[in-house]
Amino acid sequence: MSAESPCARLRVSVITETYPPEINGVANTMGHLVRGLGQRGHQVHLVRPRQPGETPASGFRETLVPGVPIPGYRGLRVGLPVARRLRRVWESSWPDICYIATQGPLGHAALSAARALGLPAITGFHTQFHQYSRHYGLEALGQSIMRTLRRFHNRSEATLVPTAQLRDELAALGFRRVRIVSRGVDTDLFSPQRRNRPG
Amino acid sequence: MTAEGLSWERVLSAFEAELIAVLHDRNPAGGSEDAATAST
Repeated sequence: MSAESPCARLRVSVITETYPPEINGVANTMGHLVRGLGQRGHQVHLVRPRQPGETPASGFRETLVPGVPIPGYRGLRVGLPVARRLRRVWESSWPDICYIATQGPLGHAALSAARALGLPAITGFHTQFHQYSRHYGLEALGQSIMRTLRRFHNRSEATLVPTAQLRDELAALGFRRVRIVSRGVDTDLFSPQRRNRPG
Repeated sequence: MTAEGLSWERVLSAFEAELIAVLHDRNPAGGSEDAATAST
């Protein structure tokens, strides 16, 4: 599918609390990014929680960490904070850059470990937890969640968001170095050729 | 928007460009090749 990249081959450590076969938007995006980076010739090291009953088959070098289920969100687990383990892993196999896709305990641990080692780290703002709090009747927590998210993302070299609207919103809330990398569509699967014809 | 404009190929190129930009900011003199090998 993807041609090899014309730019330098990078060693990229990707840290995510969710990954296929889990079904959600972040897992889907991470599946595409990780596979695509590999197809472009980059060396990908995936760090994620171990999923129940899985047999490792991602095809990439992986560090699987223990995870715990999220109450009220079946099928999703957050990774435990394993900063010391990540430091050891990265010291023995040094990545050029880290991409931290999620803001859970594993994401926080990864950012701390990367900073302690002087590794460049980019974060992804995939999930609007501060807005979800409203819908779950936890409005009072919204401000506190936002402060935590802002502190987390401002410790990274850049925060990637999918839209200009979200970039502007976060910038107004004090997030720095926010850049846009939008999302894609599987244009083989979702093609006009596959549309239903009136019959 | 065309199919190319929606594709993951375009997203990957943009993502790659951000990785390179951050590495370049950290090591402006090195360029992307050097940035990729600076840590070896």
